[in-house]
Amino acid sequence: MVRRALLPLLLLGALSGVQTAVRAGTVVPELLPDGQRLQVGARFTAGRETVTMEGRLLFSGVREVYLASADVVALLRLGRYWDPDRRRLTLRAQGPVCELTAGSRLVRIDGRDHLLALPPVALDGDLWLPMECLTRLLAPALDEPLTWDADALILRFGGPRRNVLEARIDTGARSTTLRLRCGEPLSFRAVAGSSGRILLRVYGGVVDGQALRRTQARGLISALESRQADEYAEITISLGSLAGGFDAHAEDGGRLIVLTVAEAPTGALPDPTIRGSLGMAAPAVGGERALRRVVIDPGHGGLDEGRHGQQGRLEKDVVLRLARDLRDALRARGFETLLTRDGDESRDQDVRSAQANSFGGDLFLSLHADGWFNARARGLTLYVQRAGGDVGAGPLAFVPWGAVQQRHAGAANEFALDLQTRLAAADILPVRGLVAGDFPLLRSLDMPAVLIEAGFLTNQNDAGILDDEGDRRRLAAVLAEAVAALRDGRPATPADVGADGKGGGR
Amino acid sequence: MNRERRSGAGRLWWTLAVLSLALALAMAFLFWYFSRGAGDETLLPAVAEARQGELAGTRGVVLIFSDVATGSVASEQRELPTRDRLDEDLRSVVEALLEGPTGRGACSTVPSGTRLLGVYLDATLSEAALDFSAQLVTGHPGGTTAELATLSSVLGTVAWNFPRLRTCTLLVDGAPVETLGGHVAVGAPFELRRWR
Repeated sequence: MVRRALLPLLLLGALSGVQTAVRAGTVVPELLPDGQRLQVGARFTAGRETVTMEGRLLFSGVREVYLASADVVALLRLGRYWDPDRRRLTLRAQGPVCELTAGSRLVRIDGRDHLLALPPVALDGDLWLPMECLTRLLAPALDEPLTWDADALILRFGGPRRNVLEARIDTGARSTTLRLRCGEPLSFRAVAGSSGRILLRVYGGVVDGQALRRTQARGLISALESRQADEYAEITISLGSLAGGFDAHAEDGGRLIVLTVAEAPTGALPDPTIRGSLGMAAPAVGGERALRRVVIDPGHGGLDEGRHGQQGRLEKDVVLRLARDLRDALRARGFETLLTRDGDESRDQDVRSAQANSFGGDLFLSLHADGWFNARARGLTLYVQRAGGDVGAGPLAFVPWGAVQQRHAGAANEFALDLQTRLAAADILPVRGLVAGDFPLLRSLDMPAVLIEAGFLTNQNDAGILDDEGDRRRLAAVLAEAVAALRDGRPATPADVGADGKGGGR
Repeated sequence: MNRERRSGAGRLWWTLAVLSLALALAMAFLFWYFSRGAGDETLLPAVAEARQGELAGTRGVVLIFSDVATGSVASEQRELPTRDRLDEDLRSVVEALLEGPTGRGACSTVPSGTRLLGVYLDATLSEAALDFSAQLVTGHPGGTTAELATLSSVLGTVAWNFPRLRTCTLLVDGAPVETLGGHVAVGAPFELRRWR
């Protein structure tokens, strides 16, 4: 009889995940006057730092962490409204309405009642909510992916934002097509790997590994595997022995990556080497012709002075000196070069693009020096154009002037990653990383393009390095060597990076 | 005669006793009521002025700044008055961002002196436009990194605190501008999910 009476309570405790102190018939734990204080962390996936807040264990014998409503509303982006007469807290932000009453286990969300294992507690000028209220009620109501690690005392928001969502393989008469559906426009690059494989790198992509594994291999594609790196998702496509060449392009404004594998010509012997064609979406740098012509773009010029740095330095002068050094270094390695300006002249961004395209450049390097709101920030940053527009599906496809760079986004990413590795190893300036964005200058360039912010003029150290002829020439030499390595097919190896894999700058 | 006197004195005593009890009860109630009220007043700040039938309270928000030393993201929590109206909330959050950080380790990446001139929302409350004063461009130090940091601060703050907003357009003195300092395009609406 007693067991039957206790059964619903035990079930409630088990369902809520709370270890209620059901001992000797006692199911209501004792409220501790101040509770035991803990430090609780919240981790976000969108680049925000981990934040810490105070949590409390308020009931004896129960390890249910309570958070103050002030922290809860900041974490879940809610407004809170306190009714002192009814001791009721309403939480809301243009969405579901949640009502909690101090001391009551009943919670009402959008008119529906829910029961908590332990009640909210009014303490120290705030209403403290049990973790169960966040994880079981509030987060699902707000459609907020949230998990609670009770051992580590950490709340985790979201997961990696997956944007390579779905893979589908279709077979045709003499070809097999892989379609990757992305949540947003992404640039990519497909290259022939060893042993009958294609490596497809999707830059900025976070792949849903489970969805990929669920995709049934068929036709000329025998298996799909994925690997997640910091800057890209790499999908390895294993091919059958009858596979010939392949073609890759983007559709639906960059949201659909289509890779078609063709059957080898009839009668041909199985060829273990895949003959790749990168299509219009991501031509390799110098893929169809040798990498010979490099366009160097010293930023700003004329009336546009760029950043004003320490001791009257002007960005337009600093980057022109670096551009001339880079030109010399590239010429010494056998490249034809074009400077978009070789003096203190104004150049419109469209004019620079037109110059580069008319020259038939195979690679575009835009040189700039950064600025910041104080003098402390330093380092070199690489920027490439983010994928975003429809780049056409064939050689005759119409591509708008402002979206030409989309076709080269994958190749530009690949070169920038290699350059980043070499710059870090050279240890001339700290390397801040590679960032994709929307840059008007790069949009209309019909060649892979990288914008280099070579240190902060607002920082004494960085400005000094750019002023020093020896350091500047060393920097130019690293850039030129990266271009030469690209031409010669010598990607950076771990040996280039050094023992710790990092560069620190001076 | 003596009995009448005694019964009169008894009634007086009874009356005094009842009155004393009532007074004690009233004082106990008043003490309880005011001590309860005082505790509740300090429980939560309800600082927004409510109109008839409206909610009034506070809203927990996160403001995105930059770390002074590294330039990486540094956020601060604030509590702002709210009446659960999106336009008012959006304005108060962005204005709090423009006021800058309170912590010593963070720095603002919006040029000082920038003001918020207007907040616009479409009918579906999913698209927003923020109109800033000219200092957003004229006071900007420039450089790709600084321009992206400004965008991260403004758009990151809007995206984080208003998850139901889909896009946000930046205006300067009522009109779109191509860039803040010559590098990063800001002329088209931004998809906020990229900045969340």
